[in-house]
Amino acid sequence: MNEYWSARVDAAVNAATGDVSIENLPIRTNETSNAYSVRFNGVGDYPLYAYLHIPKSDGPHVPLFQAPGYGSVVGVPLYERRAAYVVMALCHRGQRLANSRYDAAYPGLLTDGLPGEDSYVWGDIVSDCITAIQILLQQPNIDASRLAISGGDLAFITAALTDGVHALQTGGLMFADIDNRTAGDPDYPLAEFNDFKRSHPDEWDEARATLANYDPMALVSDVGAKKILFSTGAGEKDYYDQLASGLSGQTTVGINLGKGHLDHIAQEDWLGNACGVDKGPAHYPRLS
Amino acid sequence: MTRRDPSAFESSVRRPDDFDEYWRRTEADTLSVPLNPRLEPVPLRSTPDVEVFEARYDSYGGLEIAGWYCRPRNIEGPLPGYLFVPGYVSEPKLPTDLAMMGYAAFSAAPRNKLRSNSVFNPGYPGLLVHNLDKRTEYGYRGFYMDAIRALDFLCGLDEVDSSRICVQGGSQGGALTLLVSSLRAGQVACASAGAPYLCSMMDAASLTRSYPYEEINDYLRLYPEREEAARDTLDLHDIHNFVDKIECPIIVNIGLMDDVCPPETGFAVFREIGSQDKKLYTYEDCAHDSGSGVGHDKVLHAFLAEHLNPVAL
Repeated sequence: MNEYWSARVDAAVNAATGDVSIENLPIRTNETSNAYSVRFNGVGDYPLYAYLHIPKSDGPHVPLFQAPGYGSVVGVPLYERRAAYVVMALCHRGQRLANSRYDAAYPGLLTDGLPGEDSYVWGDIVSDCITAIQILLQQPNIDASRLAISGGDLAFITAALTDGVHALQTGGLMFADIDNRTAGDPDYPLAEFNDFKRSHPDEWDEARATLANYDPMALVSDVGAKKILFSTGAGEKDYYDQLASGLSGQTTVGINLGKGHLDHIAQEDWLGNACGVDKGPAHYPRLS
Repeated sequence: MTRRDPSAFESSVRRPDDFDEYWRRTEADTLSVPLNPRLEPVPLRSTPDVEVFEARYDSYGGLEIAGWYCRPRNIEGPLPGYLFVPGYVSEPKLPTDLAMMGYAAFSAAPRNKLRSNSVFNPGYPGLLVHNLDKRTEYGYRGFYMDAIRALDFLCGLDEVDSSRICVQGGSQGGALTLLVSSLRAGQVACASAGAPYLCSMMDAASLTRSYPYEEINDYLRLYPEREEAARDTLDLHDIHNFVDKIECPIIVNIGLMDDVCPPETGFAVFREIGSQDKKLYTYEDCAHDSGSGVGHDKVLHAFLAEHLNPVAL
């Protein structure tokens, strides 16, 4: 782990030693799981929020950290996950429910604070994830040896910065291969980088150096997860194969079929098998 | 388990006796608020090919609503207009890609979306059940009107050919597409609704455990005594009850394993669409992606181009 990250990880882990409020959330509690609102402070005493769901079945359960995606809303975890895992879904700073001091903009978040290393907001956002994982691991009746992380860039980066990760399910990495992927005319959010380049051409080199800290290729050797799934489109298979070659864990590069139902089943089955978890009840068609 | 046939599903939605009067009054109240359209250039997001503007207008209840407006540079008008309406949790896209295709593109951010939520902000989850037991105060009443006024905004722009306007969106955007095409039937030249949400809402909640419809299940688990009031409110706002007024050519696409907007409700609302020029695309083994990963976007843009004749950059 380089200097950029080591100081941030130390601060994030330290933040997890602060007060944590865990309150029942009756409206999201159902027949299979209890729901809770978790409130705690991230680095800089920033107020954060997370959903926490604990299966009603006997434990110990696999803890699953559902890393936030790129968007203002963090959803309640899937029905089948709530039934089977102790699952935490974090709202990082700037997202709804964690926006008391900072509102993330879309588009805008991906380049907010560039070009500087210290001002780039993603450093704190990654820290929020690391703090949340520590709080997840403080919960009773979990099997911490089977910690699982799922999501996009924040899943991959936090997996690289967290010891003891058992399973990592990821894909669709925004910080991957930035130079090539912004060379054409990409959609947002990648287009944010081109907006930045066009409006701040003199600052791009410094920004690029900051972004290098988030490059999956630079972080891959730090990912110690025992089992890894990359889910990707066929067009990006070569990139993920190369990324996989840098991992020591048992790695699968899964090619999405473009059919959401089948792709979802493949990903959830992989996660369940990797963690030794029986699949929860399907959310559709509904059985109850 | 026996494989079900979602196309055989019959909706339980009822049409309240006061449905037409309620929406006539709601539109009248909306139109009593001057639109007050404003456009502010956004140089940061503009390119040599596309001009980007932040849009603002006033809507039902006097709330200020935001949007993005993108138009191609160096093309002499009039331009075909493209109203993009957003999904439930996603932020409205910045439609530079649509401007590149030759459209004057407006992407609406109805109330509760970022930039439109300073007054009304029930959040996500939250919007679907906001004031669910108070039929005239239900959150979607004003939200629907924000979409209607977005069309009025687009039609009022000098460079837009108001005879060549389309509406398009997926999920909640699919619902809003159907809504706008119904309530502004004379103004919409063609429309495309993907995986339409807000159709047969009570039925949908009984078919799936995925959000957003799970919000209804959560709500009724906590407040079972409010079920009849909730059903009444939802019937009054259910897209199923609007679509017989649609006149324009329209395509609808659904995933046959969509857990978010169950295909049963998509089949049911498609049958009710009034237009004689309508086509349903169904995608096996697709979920809420509803065919986007297997080429439906090409179908969509070919359909719109056929009716609107944009000049791509």
